[in-house]
Amino acid sequence: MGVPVKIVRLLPFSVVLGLAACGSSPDILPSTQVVRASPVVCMDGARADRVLAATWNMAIGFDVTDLLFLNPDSVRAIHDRAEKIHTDALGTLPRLRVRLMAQEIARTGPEIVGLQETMHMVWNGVLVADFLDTLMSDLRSLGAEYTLYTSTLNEATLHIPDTTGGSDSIVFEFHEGNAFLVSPRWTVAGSGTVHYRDVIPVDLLGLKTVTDRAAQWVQLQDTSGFRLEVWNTHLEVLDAQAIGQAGEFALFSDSLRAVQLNAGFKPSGRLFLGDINSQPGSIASDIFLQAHWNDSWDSTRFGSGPTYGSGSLRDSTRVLTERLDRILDQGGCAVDTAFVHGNTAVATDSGPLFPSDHGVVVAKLRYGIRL
Amino acid sequence: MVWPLLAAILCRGGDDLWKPAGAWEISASLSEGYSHYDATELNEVLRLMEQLTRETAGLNPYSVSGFDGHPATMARLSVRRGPWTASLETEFWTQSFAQTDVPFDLGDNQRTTAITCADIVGQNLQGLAGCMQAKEDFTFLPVTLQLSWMPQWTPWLRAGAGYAAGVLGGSASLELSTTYYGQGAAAPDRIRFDIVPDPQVNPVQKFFAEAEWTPLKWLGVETRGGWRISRVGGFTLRNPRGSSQVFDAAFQNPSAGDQLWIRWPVSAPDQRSLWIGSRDSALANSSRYGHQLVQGNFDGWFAALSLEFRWGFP
Repeated sequence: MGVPVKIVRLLPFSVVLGLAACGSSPDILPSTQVVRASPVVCMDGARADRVLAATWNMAIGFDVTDLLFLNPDSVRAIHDRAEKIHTDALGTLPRLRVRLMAQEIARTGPEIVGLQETMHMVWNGVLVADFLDTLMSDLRSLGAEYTLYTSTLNEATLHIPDTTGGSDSIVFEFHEGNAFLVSPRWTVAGSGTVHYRDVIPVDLLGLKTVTDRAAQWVQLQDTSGFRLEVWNTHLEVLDAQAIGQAGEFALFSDSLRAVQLNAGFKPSGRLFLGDINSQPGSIASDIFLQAHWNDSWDSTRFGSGPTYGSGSLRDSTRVLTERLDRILDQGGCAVDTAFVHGNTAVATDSGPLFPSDHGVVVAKLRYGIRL
Repeated sequence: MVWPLLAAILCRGGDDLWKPAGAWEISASLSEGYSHYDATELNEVLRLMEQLTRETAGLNPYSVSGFDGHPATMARLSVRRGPWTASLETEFWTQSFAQTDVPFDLGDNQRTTAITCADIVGQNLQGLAGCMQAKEDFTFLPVTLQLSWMPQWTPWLRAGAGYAAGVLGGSASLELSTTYYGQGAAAPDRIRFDIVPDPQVNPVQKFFAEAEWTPLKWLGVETRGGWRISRVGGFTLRNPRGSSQVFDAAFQNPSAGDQLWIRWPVSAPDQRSLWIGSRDSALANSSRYGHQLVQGNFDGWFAALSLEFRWGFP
């Protein structure tokens, strides 16, 4: 009879063993449930219509890394770096570049254009460049009518003190951003901007801040009933943030679409214009494809289609090497054509000059119209 | 088959196998051994750090090999009567890691080859560059109360099993020193901070089997092996001293109280990345990102060999 008693004495130990095996679960904060609309699909068999679209990064003309890792306590260092940024921006002949861009847009005649790096810079009260103001003026003079929708980003006015006891203090005003050029074909039913949350911290000439990136949207409709939802964005230059922002875009664009559907705006299709700072095959690029955005270039062309190249904009031998800019669609039935212009230097009175360090990507897309 | 056999063995010794009777014995032991664990999330953090450097400007690409344990030193004080032993044990998990001369070059951020700090010092740099020195100290002390049952099977052999319960406390510290190069570059900077689990004290349990060779009355040699259950969660930045521009840039201006998370875009859940921020910030971003608080999962086996010195009392 002794045996059962001794086994029973072991049981509490077994219970402890069993309880101890229950480890704590990971601390996970699940994402908020967001209502999202399913992808738009081609309305095949419905009445078809086309849109000619373009995207162009206008190039601010200086290296953004010049803003990083400055000695915040050295006014001299900040002063010198601001001078370099000013000199570099001036050196790319911004006034002349904008004219070349206006000529290309007027010649091609896209019905919707997404612009990025739309710089405005004032140096000690002197306007260095206002890309959008100048572009609109040039387009008007060329007979190209557009309405401008702007989304201003990275706005800052820096007061850099004098370093010599003389008068070399600097007041540096800057902003850039995204913008739409909307042709007279369209009425704009709505517009807005959604800011990204995964951004890069910077010491902006000694001022601790973060980069400001966003996606801009407009809802277009023409008199025939063709309705288009259009996005324009410029993702960060570093892969880590570009991936996060691509993921954010896939989510908030779908959730905004759900809201707009409830409000009665049912688009015939969706259009994405932008610089995603990521080559085909990269993670950020694939996030767009997985979110059912189709690449118009891949639909029509076999070449690699580079849209960006480094090097001086005044070097006629400069070549584009990377495909960073995209025209994507959702709900499109076909892409008639896609091409890159602005990829060769133009002869000007100041010598050879590229309009931007990016080419302009243009595509003609066909959508089925909901009747 | 097993139960009758086990029961037969246990019953052979009668009450001697179970009763805490006879002389008292006090012992002190010192052990050296190895603690193994998967530390899945901490290893993922290392992989994500590698990914971050690959995706960030101009750091040397490198590959991580991960870690799955470390040598462990243990000290134990025990009281024994009959086959039963009660002990207080402290382990010492201490380790230091150092990464010296880690260069970065913003003017060459597409680089796929490694460079050295010597390569960037004195060069005509196109962009800004720097050289980092990183050092991490890791100190955790699991302290457990143990109860083991280890009868004296022969005059020279004791063997049995035991259970331990206690707490695991400690912290890590990280120091990052950076020298910046290039025209107008920042002055050298240094940041040091502690990484403290939250809660700072976490439960730990151990189950073990042990055998002790007792050739002398006052000395034994014991071997012990078993399984440990322990998790440490909520790694939190504390006591930052100094500042670092490169650290701020990599982790979005972290501050004291921020915690280490793995996060992913809702629309691309397989794209996990490292993120340092507060719980409030994580909740504020939860419409776009899911977040997982990094935990140290130290479940795993351990093995140790110890020298035991004994004093008996009638």
